[in-house]
Amino acid sequence: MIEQFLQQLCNGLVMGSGYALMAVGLTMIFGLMYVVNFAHGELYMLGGFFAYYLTALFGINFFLSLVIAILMVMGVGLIFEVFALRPLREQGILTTVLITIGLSIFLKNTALILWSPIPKNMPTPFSPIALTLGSVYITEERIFAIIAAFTVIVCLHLMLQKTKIGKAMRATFQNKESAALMGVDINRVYSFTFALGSGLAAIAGVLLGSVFFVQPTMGSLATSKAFIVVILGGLGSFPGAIGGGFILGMAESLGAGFISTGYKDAIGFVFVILILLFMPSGLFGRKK
Amino acid sequence: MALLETKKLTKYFGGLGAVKDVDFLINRREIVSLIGPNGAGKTTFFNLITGFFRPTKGKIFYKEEDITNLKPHQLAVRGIIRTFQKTKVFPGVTVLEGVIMGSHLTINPHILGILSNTAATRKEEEKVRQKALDILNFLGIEYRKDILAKNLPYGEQRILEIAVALAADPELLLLDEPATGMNPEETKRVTKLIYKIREKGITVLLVEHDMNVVMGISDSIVVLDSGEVIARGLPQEIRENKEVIKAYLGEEYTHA
Amino acid sequence: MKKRFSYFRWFLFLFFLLSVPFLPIGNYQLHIIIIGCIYAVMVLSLNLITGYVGELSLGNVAFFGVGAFTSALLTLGGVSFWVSFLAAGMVAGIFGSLIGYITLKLRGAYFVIVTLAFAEILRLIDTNWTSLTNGPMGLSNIPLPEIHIPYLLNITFSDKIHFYYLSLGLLLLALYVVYRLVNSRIGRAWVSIRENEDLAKSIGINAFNYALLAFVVGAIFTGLGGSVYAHYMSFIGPDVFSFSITVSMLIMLIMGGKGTIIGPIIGAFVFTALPEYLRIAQLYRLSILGIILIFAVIFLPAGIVSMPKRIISFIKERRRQFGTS
Repeated sequence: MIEQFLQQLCNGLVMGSGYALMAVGLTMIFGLMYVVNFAHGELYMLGGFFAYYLTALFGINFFLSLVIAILMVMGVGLIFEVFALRPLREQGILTTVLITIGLSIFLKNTALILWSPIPKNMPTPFSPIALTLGSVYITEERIFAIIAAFTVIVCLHLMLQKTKIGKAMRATFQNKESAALMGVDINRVYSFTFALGSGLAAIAGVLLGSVFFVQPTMGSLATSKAFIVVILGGLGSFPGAIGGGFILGMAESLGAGFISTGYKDAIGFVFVILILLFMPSGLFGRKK
Repeated sequence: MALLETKKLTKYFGGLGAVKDVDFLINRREIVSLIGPNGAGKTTFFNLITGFFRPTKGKIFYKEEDITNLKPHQLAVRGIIRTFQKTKVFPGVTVLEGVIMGSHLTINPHILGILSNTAATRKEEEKVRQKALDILNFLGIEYRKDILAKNLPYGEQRILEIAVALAADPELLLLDEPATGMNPEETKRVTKLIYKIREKGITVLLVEHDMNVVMGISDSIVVLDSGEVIARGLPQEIRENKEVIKAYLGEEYTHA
Repeated sequence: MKKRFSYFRWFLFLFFLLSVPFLPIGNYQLHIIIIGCIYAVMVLSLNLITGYVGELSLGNVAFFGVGAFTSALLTLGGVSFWVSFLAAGMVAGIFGSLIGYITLKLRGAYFVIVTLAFAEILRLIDTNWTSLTNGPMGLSNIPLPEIHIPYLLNITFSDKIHFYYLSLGLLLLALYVVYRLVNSRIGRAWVSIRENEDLAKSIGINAFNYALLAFVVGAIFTGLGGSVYAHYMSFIGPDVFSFSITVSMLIMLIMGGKGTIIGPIIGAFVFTALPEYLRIAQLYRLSILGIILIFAVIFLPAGIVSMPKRIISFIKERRRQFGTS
C-alpha cells in the first residue's frame, strides 16, 4: 500500500513538473498581458516535436536539441505576439481568446497534416532501465525531467528578481500605467513575456515528450491542464502555478492509482469548479 | 422625516479609514453639496450610499428603511440614482438609446406581453421613447440623439449621464462632480440644469470642487476631511468656517 | 433599425421557405441546409450571452449534448418524440440555470474558462458513464419522430424533407423569440450590461439575473437543437460535446456578426456550407479554418453583416477625398 502510494507520488512529481512549467508560462501571460492563451498547449506540442525532429532526424545531441527547440518555439510566440496580439491589444478579452483559439486550431491541424497522428518516441541519451529508490521505480528520463523543471523554475525566479527585464516585468504586472510612466517599454515587456511563456511551454513539451511520447493532439489536453492549474493556484500567481501544478500532478496520479483511470482527467475539472465556487482567487491568488 | 440619513457610516480599506463615523442627513427637495479636499472620502461616501461599497460599520436609512447592505440595482428601484466621477455612458449605442435604457425601471411589461408584442407592450415602448426625447429636450441635447455616445464631446457626455439618470425617475439624485472638466459656459448650463431638476421635485446631493457652483446652488453644505465631517451648514457659514479654510489651505482647487 | 416589411412580403418569403424542398436541389444540399438550421439555432442562442450580454461562453455545447442525449434516451425508452423534444429543452434549461447560477458570478476570463470546464466535465461524464450513454460507442437507432392524428395524419419522419420542416420550424421559433426579446426592455438590459455594467446597475438593472436569463434561454434552444440533431442523425456519441462544435459556433458567430440577429444565421449557413464545398481541400480544411478565424478577428471584427456598412462608408470617404478637388 505504502509502496503503491510512494510510486504514484513519484509519477505525480513528473507530471507535476510539466504542469508547473506550463502553468507558470500561462499565468505569466495572463497576469501581465491579460491574455488567455488557448494556444499554449500547441506551443508545448511544438516544443516536443521540434526536439523530436532535431534528435531523431538530424541526430543532434538531445540537450542541444532541447535548447534549439525552445528557441524556435519562442520565435513562434514572438512572431504571433507582434503580428497578431499587439494590434488587437486594446480590444478586450473576447478578441484575444478568439485569436489564440485560431492559432491553436491552425497549429494543431497543420501538425496533424505534416507529422501524422501516430505517437512518436523521442530518442534520449538516458538508459531505459528503471532505477530503484527504495521501493520506487523511476527512470533516468524522469529524474532529468524533474531536475530540469526545478532548475528552470529557480532560474526564472532569479531572472525576475535580479535582471532589468525581470524587474520591468514585475512592475508591469503590478500596474501597467505606472510602469509605462516610469519608462518601461511596454511593447518589449509584452513581447518578451509571451516569448518566455511560449518557451516554458516548449520546455514542458520536450521534457514530458521525452518521458512519454509526442503526438500532434497532445496540446489540447495540455492546455486544459494548464488552465486548471492556473485557476487552482490563482490567475496571475507564480507560486500558485508551481504549487498548483504539483498538487494536480500528484492528485491525478493518486487518483488514477487508487480510484479509476477513466475519470482521472475529471479530477482537475472538479477542482476548478470547487475553487471557482468557494475560492475564486485561487489557493494563492491575489484578490482582483 | 429625512429622505436619506446615515448613522456613523464607516469604511476601512485595510487599515485606511476612508470614511469615519459619518452622520449625514438630507431632506426632500434640498440641494446639498458634499465638499472637501482630494481624498477626503467624498466618492467613497457616494459609493457606500449607492451600494457599490459595503460599509465596515454604520447604517444607512432611506425614508426610514434600513438600506445599508442593499445592492446598487435595489437602491435604484427605491429611487436613488447616481452619476459617476469618471464619466460612464453606454459607448456603443446612440444617445437616444442610452436614455431609453435609463428608463428600464419605469416600465414593467409582462414577459408574455413581450413575446406576443401586445398593444400594451408597444404603448409602453412608445411612452419610454417619448420620455427619452423629452429628457433630451429638457437638457438641450436633443439634436445629438442619433450620435453614438462614445462620439460625443466630453461636456455633452456628462450631460448625457444626467439624462440617463433622469430617465430612471430618481427621487434622490446623486451627482458626482458634474461640473468637473467643464468650461464656464458648460458649468453655467449644468448649474441651471440642477435648479430645473430640483423644480421637478427631485432631491439633489452633489460632490463638487467648483466653489462657485457649490456656494451658489446649495441649500446646505457638508465638508469632509480625511473621512470625517468637519463642518456642516449654510454656504455663508461654511465660507467663514476656520476648520474648512484650514483643510483647504495649500489646496489649489481648479475648476475646468 | 427595425425594417417594416409589409405582411405580404413576409408571407411570400415564408412561402418560399416552405417550398425549398421541392426546388431542384439535391439531397446533399438539403442535408447541409438542415445542419445549417440547427447550427443557426445554436449560434442565435450563443449570441444572447456572448453577443448581447458580452460574456464569452465556451460551454454552450454542453446544452447541445444534454439535449441530444435527453431526447435520445427518452425516445429509446418509449417516450414520444414530441414529449422528449420538449424535455430536452427543459433539461438543457435546468442545466443552464445551474451552470449559469455558478458561473455568472464571475466575469471575463474566469467565465470563459469555467464554462469550458463544465462542457469538458460533461464530455468526460458522457464518455465514462457507459451504462447510461454507452460511452464512446454512443447511442444508435434513435427513433424517428412521428405524428399520429387518428383519421387525419400518419407521418414518420423518414425523409430529409420532414427534418427540413422540423429544423426550419425550430429556427423560425428561435428567431421569433430572440427578435422579441432583443427588441424589448430585456434586450436593452442585456446590451447595457455589455456596454457598461456599473452604469446598468446604477439604473436598476440586476445584471446577474438578466445575464442568467440570456444564458438559460440560449441553453433551452440549444438543447432543442440537440434533440433535432439526435433524431436526424439517428446516432449520437461523445462528439456532441466536442470542443470542435464550440469552435464552429464561435467562427459562425464572429464571422456572421455578433450582437445582431441576422449575423448568427448568415454565419451558420456560410460556415456549414463552406467547409462542405471545400471538400477538395478537406485535408487542410481545419488549418484553413484556424487562419480564417485569426484574420476574421483582425480584419472583420463586426462580422459579415457589417460589410455593407463598411463598404458604404469606405466609398463615402473616397468620394469626400476626391469630391473637393
